[in-house]
Parts: sequence; C-alpha cells; structure tokens
Amino acid sequence: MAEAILTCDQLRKTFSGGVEAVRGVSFHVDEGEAFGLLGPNGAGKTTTMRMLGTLLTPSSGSARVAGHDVVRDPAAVRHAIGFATQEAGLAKYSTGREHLLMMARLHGLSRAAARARAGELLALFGLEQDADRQVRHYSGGMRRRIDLACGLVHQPRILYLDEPTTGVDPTSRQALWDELRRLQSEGTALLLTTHYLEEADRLCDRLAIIDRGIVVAAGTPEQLKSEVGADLVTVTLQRHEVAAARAALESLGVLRAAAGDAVLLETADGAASVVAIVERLAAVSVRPGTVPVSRPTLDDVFFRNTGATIGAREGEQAA
Amino acid sequence: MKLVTDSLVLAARAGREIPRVPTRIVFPLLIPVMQLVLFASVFANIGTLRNAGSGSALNFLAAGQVALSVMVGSGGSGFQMVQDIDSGFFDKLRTSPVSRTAIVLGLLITDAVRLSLHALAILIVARLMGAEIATGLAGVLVIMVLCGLFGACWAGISLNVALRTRNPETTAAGGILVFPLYFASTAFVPKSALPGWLQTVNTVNPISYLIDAVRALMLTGWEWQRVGEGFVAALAVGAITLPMALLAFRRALAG
Repeated sequence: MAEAILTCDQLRKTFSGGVEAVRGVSFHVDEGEAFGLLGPNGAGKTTTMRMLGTLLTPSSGSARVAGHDVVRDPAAVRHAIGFATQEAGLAKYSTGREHLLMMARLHGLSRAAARARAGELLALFGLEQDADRQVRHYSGGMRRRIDLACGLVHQPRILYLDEPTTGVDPTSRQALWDELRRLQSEGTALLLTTHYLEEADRLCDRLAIIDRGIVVAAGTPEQLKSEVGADLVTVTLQRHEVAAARAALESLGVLRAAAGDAVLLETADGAASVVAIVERLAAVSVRPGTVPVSRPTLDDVFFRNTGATIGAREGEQAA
Repeated sequence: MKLVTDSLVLAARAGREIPRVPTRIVFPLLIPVMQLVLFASVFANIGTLRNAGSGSALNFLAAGQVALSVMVGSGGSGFQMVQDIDSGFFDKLRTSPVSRTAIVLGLLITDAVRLSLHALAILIVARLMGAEIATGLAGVLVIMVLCGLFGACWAGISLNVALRTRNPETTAAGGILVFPLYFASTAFVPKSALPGWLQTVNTVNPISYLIDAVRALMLTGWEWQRVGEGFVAALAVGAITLPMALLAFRRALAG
C-alpha cells in the first residue's frame, strides 16, 4: 500500500477582495504517483497549488507534504518539493547553467556538488548546447525544461507543475510529457494542474476535476470516464435536417448541444444504437453523412459534472 | 551562515547580470558625467566656487557628481526586485529553502559594490579632466566605501517603492524624487553661500553630508569630522529605509 506524500483537507482561500478562489478542496497524492488537477482557467487550480507550495497561506483547512504542515513548517515543505511555476520564472539575463548552479547552492549543495548536479540535469534535458546562453534567447520549450530542471536540483520527492505545457508547441509538449513520465518512473511524484484534457489523460494516474473552487469529481481517468457511462454518437447531417433529426432521436438517449450540422447523442451502448439511429432517421427521410461512435473523454466527464464544457467555462471567464 | 552564503549567491547573480545590460551601467553615469563636463566649464569663472576650495570649479563640483551617480544608481535594487516579482523569479526563490532575508540582502550587497564602482568611475573622469584628490589613493578607497554604504542605504528607498507598488514604471519614476533634494544640496555651492532657508534644509539633507565628506577628502584632506558625518548620514538613512523595506518585503512574502 503506497503512502501519501501529500494530503490536503478542506483547503480554502478567500482573497482580500472577497473572491473565494478555493472553497474546500481535499485530495491526496501517493508516493510516486502522478496526480492532476484538471479544470478551466480560473477554477482555483493554481491557487490550490500555490497554497501547497507555501507561496500562499490558506484561509482555512490544512495540508501536509512529506509529513510537514505547509503553514507550520514551510521550510521543511520547501525541501521536499520542486515547483515549476506557470510563468517559468527565470532571470532572463542569466544562463541556463547559472540558474541550476544558483538553485543548487540555495538548496545547500556545495560548489562542487552543484556543478556536478547542473551538468547532470543539462544532459538529462538535452540543454548542454545552450547551457551557457542567456535564457532570454531560449524558446518556450527550452524555458520550461530549464525551469523543470531548476525544480529538480535537490531531487525532490514531489514535483509541482503548474500548467507545464501551456504556450509550448506540440513537438516540445510531447517531449516534455516523455520527460515527466520518465521522472515519475524513477520515483518522483507529480502534482500537475492543466486545462488540457489530453494532458490529464496521458500523464495522470489519478485526477481531481476542479470547477469554481471545488472538486466536482475524482478518480483515475478510466473510472471517471466509465462513470459518464455513455458513449457519444455524432451524427453529421445537412444543416436544414438537424431539427427533424433531433426530434426523431430524442427518445434514444441524451441530446447534447452541438455545432450547426451535427447531432450529438449520449447513449449507453453506442455501437448498438447506430442501427436504431439510422432507422429512425430513414423514417423521417433523413440520410446521415457519417455516424461515428466515441468512448467518453474527460471533456464529457467535465460536462457531466458541471453542465458546461471546459471551453465554455473559459469563455465565461474571458467575458 | 545560510544567510551569508545565500546572500552572496544572490548578489553574484544580480552582479553578473549588470554588465549584460550595458544601459544599466551607462545610464546612471550619463547625467553625472555630463554635468561634470558642462558645469565645470560653465561655472569656471564664478567667484564663490573659485574661492571655495583648492582653486577650480571642477574640483569643487566633482563631489556633487560622485554623489549623484550614487543616488541615481541606487534605483538598481528596487528595479531588480520589481523585475523579479514580475517575471516570477521571486516566486521561484520563495519555493526554495533560501534564507528570506538573503533575497533583499543579496540585492543590497550588489548595489553597494556597484555604487562604489560608480563613484570610482566619476573620480576617474574628474581626474582625467584635471581634478586633484588631496587624500590620494587612500582617500579614493574611503570615498568608495562611503559611497557603497550610502548607496545601499539609499537603495532602501527604491526597494520600498518596488515592494509597495510592485510596478516597474512607478519604481523607475520614483528615482526622480532625488532631484529636488539634490539640487537643494551643497552640490553646486558651499553651504555658506546658500540662502538662509536652504541652509536650514541642508542641516537635515543627507545628500549634503555625503557631498561634503567627499569634497573634504578631495579638496582639503583628512577632515575626520566631515568624513564621520558622511558615514553617520548614511546610517541614519539606512535606519529609516531598510527596516521599512524589510517590512514591505515581509508583506510581499505573505503573498
């Protein structure tokens, strides 16, 4: 049975302006586990992570990391964690190697040990060639990698990653995912926030879905998807046929909002429904274009639990 | 011990970055050097200056420009702090077990070293223009130490603005506030030649004590009282600005 490296209980944060960013979040991360906080921008993921990383004091609730209370013993918590922040906070006129040396020294490594560790990490992240260039010349992906490397100088037991691949191009994202999985396979627990469903699906052993400051669902990606319990059938049509098709298919399952020329139907067994769907549509003289069936995605899980898609929530935030 | 090593690690980082942005070196020296070159000619024939010290307006004015280069340059700590907060580097430090005080102390150490070098640069320019330094090399060293200390204490002002506003523009603009104090100081005329009310102002204007100490070392020799007053003025400034800066820093740490 794995031990928990991190537990938090009813964490809350109300900012001085009265904004309740986090309204009672509880979860735990096992030793060596990859745990994700999935939710739209503004859901309270970053605030939660900043409380767990000793950057913000919780308004109430408690959290322990590696056995240390984040409020009572923040110094011990800082020794146990590595933290790659969202903005990859780097000193832009310093080089990649200088960053690693500096962070290693601040973690108490001797000069010689810091040099050795910096060399190791530069090799590990494929940054040797650029090690002595100032980070202001780095690409987004390289900045993320050096930031990640900075979080690892002291071989932390758990690494926090706030939106690790936001603003990173697809190729670098793939490479970062590979690196994170390798780290995890070597025993480092990961706590990451993301609003990318694919990222949560690919990286996380377990995850908590956060919306408006509370956890609305938690479990393994597979558990969460099977709780949705339904397949999704997408019926593509001519635009003028949509109304008739919706009326004809209503009784077969749950109709979902969709773009103008398709009907989305949630149903327990998608494959079996296809025949019925085609028959019903034929009865009202509608011939569908395609009728693909998909297994539930985390977006469906999010929709099921909050009544909105992640994209729609972010639209609200922006409005 | 952790405080000392951490401060030095962070001071080394800030110091290393300075020459990588040449404007950070050139800008604070630009105005003092310009004033030195222009005013030394403009004021060359004004009697009060000629009679004030060892003969030339240049010798008299150099002390004021040394002080100005320290004042203008002391915005460095605040500017670096606000940049680090802005970039997220400050947060990166906060998630590490770095000694908290070292984050501030590191910047102040860098400024002390940098500003003593500013003073040296102005002295070299003045020397090249023909100014003399009565106390010689030893005097130059004392001027550098005094300017480093005074500058680090004065940097507490920019740190306060930086930590209380967390706004780069305000922090940069805050540096302008030094000019009224500077123009009302003994930079351009000796205290005895100032109108009565300005003489009163200058009994509490720390910049004048710095200028008078530097001027004494350049013009007349080891006037220990003047030099002592310069150091006391630096410490008096620090006694106000630094505790306030640490308080603002505590608040910034609390998030």
